[in-house]
Amino acid sequence: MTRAGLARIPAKPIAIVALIAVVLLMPNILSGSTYWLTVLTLLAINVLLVSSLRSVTLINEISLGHVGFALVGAYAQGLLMLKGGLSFWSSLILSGLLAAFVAAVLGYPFLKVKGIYFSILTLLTAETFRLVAYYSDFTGGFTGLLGIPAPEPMNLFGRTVAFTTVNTYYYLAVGLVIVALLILYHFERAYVSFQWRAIRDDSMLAAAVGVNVIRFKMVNFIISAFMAGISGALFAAFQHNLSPDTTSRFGTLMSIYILVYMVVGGKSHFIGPFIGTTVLTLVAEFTRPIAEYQPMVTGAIAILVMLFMPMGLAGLPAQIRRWAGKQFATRPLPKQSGE
Amino acid sequence: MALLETRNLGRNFGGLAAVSNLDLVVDEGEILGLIGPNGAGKSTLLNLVDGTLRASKGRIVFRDQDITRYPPHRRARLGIARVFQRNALFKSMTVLDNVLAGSFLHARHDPFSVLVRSLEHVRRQREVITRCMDLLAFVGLDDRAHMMATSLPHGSQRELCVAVALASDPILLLLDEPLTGMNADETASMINIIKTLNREKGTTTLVVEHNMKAVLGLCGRSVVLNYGQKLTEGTPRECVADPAVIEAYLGTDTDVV
Amino acid sequence: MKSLDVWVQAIINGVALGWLYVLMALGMTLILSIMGILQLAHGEIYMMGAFLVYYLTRQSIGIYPAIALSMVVMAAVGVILERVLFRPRANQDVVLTSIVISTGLTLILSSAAVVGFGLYTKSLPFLISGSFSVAGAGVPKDRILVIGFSVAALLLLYGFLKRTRLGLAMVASAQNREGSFLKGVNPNQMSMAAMAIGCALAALAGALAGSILQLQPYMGSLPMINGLVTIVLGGLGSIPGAVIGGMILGLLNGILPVMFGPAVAAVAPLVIVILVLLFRPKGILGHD
Repeated sequence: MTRAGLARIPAKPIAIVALIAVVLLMPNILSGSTYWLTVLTLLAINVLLVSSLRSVTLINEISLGHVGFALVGAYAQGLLMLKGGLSFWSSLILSGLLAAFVAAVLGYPFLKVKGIYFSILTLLTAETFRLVAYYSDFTGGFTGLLGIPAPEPMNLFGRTVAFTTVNTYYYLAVGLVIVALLILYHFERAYVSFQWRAIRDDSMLAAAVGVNVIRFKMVNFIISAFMAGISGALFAAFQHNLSPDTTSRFGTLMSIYILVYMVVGGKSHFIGPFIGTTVLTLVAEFTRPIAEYQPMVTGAIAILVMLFMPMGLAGLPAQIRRWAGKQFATRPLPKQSGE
Repeated sequence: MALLETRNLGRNFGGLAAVSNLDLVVDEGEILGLIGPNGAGKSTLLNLVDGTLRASKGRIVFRDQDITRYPPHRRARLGIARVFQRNALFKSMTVLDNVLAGSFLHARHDPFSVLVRSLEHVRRQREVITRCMDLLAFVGLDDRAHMMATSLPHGSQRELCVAVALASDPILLLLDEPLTGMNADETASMINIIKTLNREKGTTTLVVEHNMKAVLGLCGRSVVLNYGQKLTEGTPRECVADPAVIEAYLGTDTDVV
Repeated sequence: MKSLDVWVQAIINGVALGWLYVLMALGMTLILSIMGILQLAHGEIYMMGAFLVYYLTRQSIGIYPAIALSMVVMAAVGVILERVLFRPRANQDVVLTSIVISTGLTLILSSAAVVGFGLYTKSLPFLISGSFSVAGAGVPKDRILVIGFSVAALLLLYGFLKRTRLGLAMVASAQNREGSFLKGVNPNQMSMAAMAIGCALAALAGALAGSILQLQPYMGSLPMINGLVTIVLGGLGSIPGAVIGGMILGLLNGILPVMFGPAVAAVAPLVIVILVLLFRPKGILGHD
């Protein structure tokens, strides 16, 4: 039975710093190509969403409705800025908190039911949110929410920075996403704590020795929803228009895509969602000339990864090591007798 | 003095009553045996007492506290410990870490149990380690403290499960078929553990067991269940000789004695 | 107050739709209880069944033979999918794996349909034209035919499961996978049969739906959700439950828009199912 690794504490912090540096220098590397910066901004937002989805797997649950929390965050951001006149930053925090609140309310009954029912529940709930947004005039009905303003200009180091262009929004979005991921990562390190390990190993036994399993699961679920809400809010301020259409970012199709991104990257590693989202987004970009075939390619990759690399791309090094070990073993390992 | 009482306890699954009209009393300091043919509801009763299952009707009172609606972790904190029928162990941890988990997580001594603590932090608590090693010595596993819990053979794993349950210093110990799958030596060892525990610490014990010889030797009193209801109770010898009990067992593979 | 005509139409539509959900649900519940997986691409099987009929009727094959042929072909496709994709492998989280594989399949099949047939809606030739007159209201004959075929399929399935050796083995396998395995039932054979039957029923549902509604490559996602909702309502693993659940859902979908408008009609069934999952996850008749 393969042991799913918890947050692999990277023995290469240099690599992480280098990665962050590359990310931050992207606008310069791409000489300000608007198209690619747009792609990368959306990529960053998606990485946050997929990472938040992944953190739910740490409590052995699969949420098929995380787009629902993103929807809550996005519409909250849009409505607070448009109709409430609030600033980008206050709306951002409030949107995340609203998504977290929804998770707090729904989490307790949802987490008490068996695994597959939980997944179905999340799927149906996200779809319900979308339909409410679709039919409700308050959220703009089927046309959606239009004209969400960009973040207000900020005064940085004596210069006024406006966020109306992709160049500047890129930094804002990516910066916030990095902060959010660091927070998620910090919480994940807490998962090596005793209580979390006990819950993962045998949640029934954990309860029997006094761990309030539901409370821990709720904390995880709420934080995950908060991050998903933030990703939605960032999307709203970037895209300026939200659509509750079934093929939009908040429909079941997107739920499928983020699940695929997570699994292809590898759900057992913190860096998995980043890898999966990046690889598949690049695949989508490079198959643009044959756009009708893109879902086919993505679907095929998902199936192949699931069948042959169940640990995902992030698990590739470990899988290669294991395969190499098997090839080069000269004699069978001594049989471990029990006593 | 009654430590645990169930009053008119019942639990339904769909239309089937797994347990019904159950009035049970467990006195402080005794070892009570719960016997009956397969499907009589013995495991269900343990699940109801430790909180894994919610009662459909009736009440459960522990030390004069109505715990009917309490979830499992809350009952654990009150001093009810359960050893499951399957070998429930923390798979990623060593033998010692399992017992540490049993003692540390119990949090009867720590009201802030929600605080996350790392394994390293716990390992640094010298007194806790000593206590857990003593427990392992008590069940005979101290020489294997740093092996992975899953690498132990079946009998030793069961002893580890008992140690984990004891780590929280329980007032009431629930044992679900502790002797299943054990050979003669392991059985004798386990019986000795239970007896010593009861004699030296006065731990009240409720045992579900099929091994009648063990029950005769171990329990001061026993209760017989059939079809989810109490058939009779008394000393094990009385129960085993009761014609109604023998009839309940006839047609099953369990030897009465 | 709406006229009788509208009500009759609503009820008949609801019942016809409901029977289509039943056909989907029967397949999904068989696959779920025998193979233990959620086949989320079942809607795409439905869609392919419909498009296959479209293709065949364009080759001048009559609609009824086309439907029959489509069912057979999709059954074979189901068996191939089971063999290639859904065989259990060691060391696997079956739930996650099956969800990901079936969603990947969804992407492949729906984009294949877009590539092969384009995005514009298509229609199938009529099954039958004209309508009855019931109490002064017009009842389209094709809806009745859809109900008729669905009921016939259900009865055939029921007979198969209760009377044939393979069918009885499938029932046993659905209720107790390990137990029946010990009694000599071949789990792979059961899975292939489950996929074959499930896909045939989905193809039938797709073809029937295509003849009273329209075809487009994404027509399968809503029926899949409705199938899922149906089996949750009726109880996972229960065939009578699937029928009851389908009827309830169908009637809700037929009547609610007339009574309350599209918003409530879309949201209410989902909310009902959410409540069912929270308070009685077993559904009406479930036992899994």
